[in-house]
Amino acid sequence: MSATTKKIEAKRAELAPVISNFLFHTPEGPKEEQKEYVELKITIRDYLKDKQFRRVVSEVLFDLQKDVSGSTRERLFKLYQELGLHEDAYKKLNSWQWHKIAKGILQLSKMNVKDAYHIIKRFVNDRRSVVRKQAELATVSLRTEGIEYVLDSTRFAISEWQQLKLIEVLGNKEGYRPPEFKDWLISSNKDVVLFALRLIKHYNQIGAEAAITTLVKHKNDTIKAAAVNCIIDFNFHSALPTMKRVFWKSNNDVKIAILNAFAEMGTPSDLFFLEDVSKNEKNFLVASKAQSAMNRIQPDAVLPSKDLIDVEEVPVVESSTKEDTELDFLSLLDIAVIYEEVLPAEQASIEFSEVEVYDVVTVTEETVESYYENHLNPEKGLDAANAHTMSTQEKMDIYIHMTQEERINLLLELKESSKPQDIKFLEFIAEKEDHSEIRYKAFRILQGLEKNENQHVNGGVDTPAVTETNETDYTVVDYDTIYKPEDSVFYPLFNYGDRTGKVVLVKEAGKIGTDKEVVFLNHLLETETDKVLLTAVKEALDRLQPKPSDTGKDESETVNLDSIRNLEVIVDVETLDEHNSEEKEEADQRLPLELLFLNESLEDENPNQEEEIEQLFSFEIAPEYFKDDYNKLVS
Amino acid sequence: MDSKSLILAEDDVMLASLLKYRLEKEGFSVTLCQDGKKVKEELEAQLPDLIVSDIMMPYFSGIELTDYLRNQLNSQIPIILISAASNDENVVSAFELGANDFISKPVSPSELLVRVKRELIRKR
Repeated sequence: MSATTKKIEAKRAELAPVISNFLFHTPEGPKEEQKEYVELKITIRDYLKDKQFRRVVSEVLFDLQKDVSGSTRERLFKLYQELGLHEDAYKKLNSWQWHKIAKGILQLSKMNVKDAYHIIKRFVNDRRSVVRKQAELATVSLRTEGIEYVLDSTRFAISEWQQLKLIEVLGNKEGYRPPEFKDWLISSNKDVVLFALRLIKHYNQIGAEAAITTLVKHKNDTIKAAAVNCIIDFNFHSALPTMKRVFWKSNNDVKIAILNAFAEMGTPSDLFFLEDVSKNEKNFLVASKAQSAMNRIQPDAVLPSKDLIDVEEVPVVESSTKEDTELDFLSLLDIAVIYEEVLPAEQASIEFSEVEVYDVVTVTEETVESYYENHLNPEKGLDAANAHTMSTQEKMDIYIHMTQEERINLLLELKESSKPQDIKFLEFIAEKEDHSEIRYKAFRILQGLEKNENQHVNGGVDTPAVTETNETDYTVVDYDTIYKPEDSVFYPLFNYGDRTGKVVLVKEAGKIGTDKEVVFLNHLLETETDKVLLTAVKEALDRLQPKPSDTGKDESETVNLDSIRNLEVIVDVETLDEHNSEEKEEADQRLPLELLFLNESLEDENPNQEEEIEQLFSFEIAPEYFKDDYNKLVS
Repeated sequence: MDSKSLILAEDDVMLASLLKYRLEKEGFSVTLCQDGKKVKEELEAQLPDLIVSDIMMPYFSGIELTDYLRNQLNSQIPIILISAASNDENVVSAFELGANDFISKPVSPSELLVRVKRELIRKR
């Protein structure tokens, strides 16, 4: 450390408490402190006559302003001017040496001598760059309107570094409200325009859309590129047509900037422009950027096309969309065909011989085609007309490939023209179909079919659809011609029994009897006159004689009750019978309990909503319920 | 009321003097140290109520001082660190090692005073 430096350091240490005292002095303090302050002031004024001391104090305060903030800093600025140290800085501005001028400007701006603004701003267009830059910073720093003065008056270039420093100075100003920087986009100084664009971006001034879009047409490519980047930042979609127009008149940097803009903001309508660029642009980077932009707008719009080896297209097997667990047989056929194409026939045979279930080895394209044509031809389709001519398996195979709409249409047709041979197919739908509405429709058609069949069996009015049946129709066998009443084991016992015994025997015959007992019971029906016994005989016969509606409701009950209705002995049964018949009719129209929820999803099919609501809460009661009551009454 | 003792570790004479003056004016007993070595000597002699230390100091940085205090001396004396630049790494390291507060330059003496008082209240 040199002697001078040592001397200065000693002076600084000596000055430190003095300056602290000055900075934190308060007039409200004790008298002793006030006295000390006045003495210090007199002492320091004497010292300040020394030029060297003034320089040291000035440097101390200048250094200190960097380390303190808040009210202490403000007091420091005030002290600097009270001690008259700013006069020294003013003197420096008149120096012919550029570094002294720059130092003077720096001190005045750092010590916030606002009165120096008008003097400093004259240096904004100084031909010496260091002075000019220092003046720009000081002008912007000292007053709010400083930036406007710099942008208005500067005739020199403003480097990017200087722009950033000026923005930093603006950022340090408390409560700064920036002007509309778009006003300087029309400046003749290109650096001012670029700086204005930077300031617009920095202060997010989106009101400059039209001005920035116009700048895309600027003859200077640097301004053009800056404007495009600004457009990307602000997402100005309205600038895209202008950018298309100027594209071919721009240099590569601007072209790339414009293509970046299209990548960010472009729409499919811009793909034609980008395709044109990718085809006609000679510069590889620009053309590549155009293709990249196309892919950004529409993914996979451009795929790699160069340096690819020739590979034959192999059809891709689409995965089955079926949700149920059944195997998609058609998919297996497709796989088999592809394997036969790709692999040698022998190898394909070896692979598929392991699949025992489907015997895929024998499947060829011809068989698949014939299968489609003869069985599953989509054009042939499945409708109510050809449904009756197909086997149930064929119908099911086609059905599982039908769309939901086709399935509904099919069921609407079947509703009008269903036949008993469709029962299995309808049962398949009612059981396997995922869609509740379709399942319900199938169920209702099934219900209608079964009702028609029962009417047919019980001598009711047959519908044409049911009378044409040949699958489920049954023949009534005349057992009387084969057996005689005596052939029944119950015959000898019956003749020795009393009335109660005879009833018991008849009931037993109904339970365990065969065709012989049918003949025996028919014989009793003709010969016996006891009404109670006759009732038991009819009941036993009903149990023995099989009916086609075994899976549904016991319609024989209706027959028995019809005959019993004529009996005067059991009066209550008549009432019961009427009730039972009404209930049965209603029950035919009703859903089973587990399907009642379907009423909600089929409101359009139930115009009479009130009736439906009643049905919802009147559950179906099996005929057996009434039958038991009747039996109790009889016994 | 007994005055609270503070160690102010700051190598810049002017700033140290300014802060010392401000703190003493508020009734604190301030011991000024211009490097880390002197701080260590002071700590070995007697522990203060609070330490205000610059991070960048000769011999012994503010972060090392924090580490020494917390891990060597096992002391929970409040430490307020001052740094010229609010370097994120410095701040994180300081807090991880157990510093109680951090203040970046330029320092407002009034703000420092408030923080010192707050830490002493917390300590109680």
